[in-house]
Amino acid sequence: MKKEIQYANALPQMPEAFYKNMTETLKELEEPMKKRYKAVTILVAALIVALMMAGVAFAAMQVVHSGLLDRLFPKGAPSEAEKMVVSDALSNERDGLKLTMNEHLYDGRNIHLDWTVESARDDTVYYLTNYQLKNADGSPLTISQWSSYESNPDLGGGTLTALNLTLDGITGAKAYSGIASFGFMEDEVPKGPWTFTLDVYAYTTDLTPVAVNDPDELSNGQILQLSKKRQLAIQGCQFGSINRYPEYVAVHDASAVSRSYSLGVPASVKAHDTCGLLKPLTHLSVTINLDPGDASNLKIKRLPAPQTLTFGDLTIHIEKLEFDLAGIHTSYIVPLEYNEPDGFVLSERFLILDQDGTPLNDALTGISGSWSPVKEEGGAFQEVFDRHDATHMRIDEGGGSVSKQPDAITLIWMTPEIDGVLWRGGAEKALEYANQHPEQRMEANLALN
Amino acid sequence: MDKSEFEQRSLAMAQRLYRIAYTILYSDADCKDAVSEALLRAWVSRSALRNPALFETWLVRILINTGRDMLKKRSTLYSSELSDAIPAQEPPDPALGAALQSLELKYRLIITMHHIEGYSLKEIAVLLKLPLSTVKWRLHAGRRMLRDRLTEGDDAQ
Repeated sequence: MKKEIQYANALPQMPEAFYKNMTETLKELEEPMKKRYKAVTILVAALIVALMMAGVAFAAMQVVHSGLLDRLFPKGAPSEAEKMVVSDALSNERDGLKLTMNEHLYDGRNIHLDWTVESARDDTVYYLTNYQLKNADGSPLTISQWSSYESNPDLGGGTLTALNLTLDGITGAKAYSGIASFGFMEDEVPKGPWTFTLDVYAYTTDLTPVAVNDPDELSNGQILQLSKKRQLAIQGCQFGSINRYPEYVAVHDASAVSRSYSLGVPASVKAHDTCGLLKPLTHLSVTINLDPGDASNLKIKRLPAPQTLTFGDLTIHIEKLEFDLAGIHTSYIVPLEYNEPDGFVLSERFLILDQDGTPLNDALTGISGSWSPVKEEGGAFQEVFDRHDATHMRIDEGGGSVSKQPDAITLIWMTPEIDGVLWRGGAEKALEYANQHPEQRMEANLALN
Repeated sequence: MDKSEFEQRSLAMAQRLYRIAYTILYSDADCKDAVSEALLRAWVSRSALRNPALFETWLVRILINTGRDMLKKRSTLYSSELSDAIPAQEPPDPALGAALQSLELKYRLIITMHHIEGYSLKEIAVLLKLPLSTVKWRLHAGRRMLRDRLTEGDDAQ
């Protein structure tokens, strides 16, 4: 006779410390700030900690900066992109801080910018960055396709970023170089001259960065990091009421930050506004003027028309699949119910190979799903409640840039296991997995023009 | 929803939040972080919750997303070292706990949600954004693997 499994005994009892931590978190919650930003004004909050050495001039600083093309196209930039890069070197300097727009690239549909903030001050400086895109008459431009900020993969836009301290012999740089990218939908592309403004709002604080010395308060990831090198922390800052993690962020090396949390614009701004611990220092701003651009030079490769692919009783409708300088943009619709219960279960993502069999969608920049039909309730989580009636899922995916746009592609769908392989091992590993499991594999060859 | 109600309803779910976070992360420290982060995310975006009656479901969903985010980040950064670094919490039935932990997340989470937390398969499908058929299949496959692993453990003894 089968022994009945007492599933509840598989998990430990909730520790008291967990409940205590939860209580403390809840106590720290504060009332929200009033929303005061226009929807089209994209405010990205990046709090950057810098403890500056006295008397060092800007010129002597180590700027973490490798150039726009290198950052956008780590595997090699296409020649079209090289021709489009404009060196701006526009600076605004005030109160010991200097903001520089280094380079930008506008291809007629996507804009990428590379900028640097440097400080010659002795004290710790925090800053928020704000991006404004406007028509020549000052009216705001709409951008609804995609946007991303910062180039460090561990530090997405709107998250706490860390800079450079000197402690225990670790000497950090005294500047930070960021990157921002925005993509217009086809009907949003500016028809006339327009401007891009980068604002930096700088603040100081009396809080002092200290070394983390209580591993019990850290997660596994941070403990692992601690085992490699000493980390620094910002002690006691009430940013914790919104973003609990400043105290865990390494401040000597942005690349060592073990976690990042996208809290969104209101949360980040609230952290500043309600914390009361930051003192306004100065405001720096640079504006670049842009021409309308000519997307016809963009050499977009795309599916000539939406296509419906059929694999047995599974139908996948591809609404969009296109490549441009910014990367891959796809949108496809899959049914939710098929072949239950032992049948083919679809992965969230598919592999895209070029004519030579090289995977193209290694660098995923974003993926989102929505259910159809859904009752629009508004808010970020509406699909949770409305999905019962859904019959299809629509998936939008953005991939990183590719060095050469293909004339034809192969799409490969697998079972959901492929998602894990893609996340952890990248497209090369996923392809290897797909080749090892041909029985779970569906593929389609499509021409682009 | 005011702060007092938010606090009350969240604390009433403490056990559930812990067990779900633990099923995903298997680390007390990460459970604390995940739940704190989920509470903050929920508080900040609570205006998105149009029907307060669905608060519990909504918060669990946020927690699952948060836990998965942490897991992904952890997998990317610390893949080979992770298992050694996780502090072990002893469940009442250690063999069962180990067997459950050995399952992939997609199986163990559904087992926890259904058999421990009492969610219906349809509720799980909504929470995890999966087709009902997938949830059924994963629960079936997960239970089968769990039994296999428990049997392997018995045989080994």
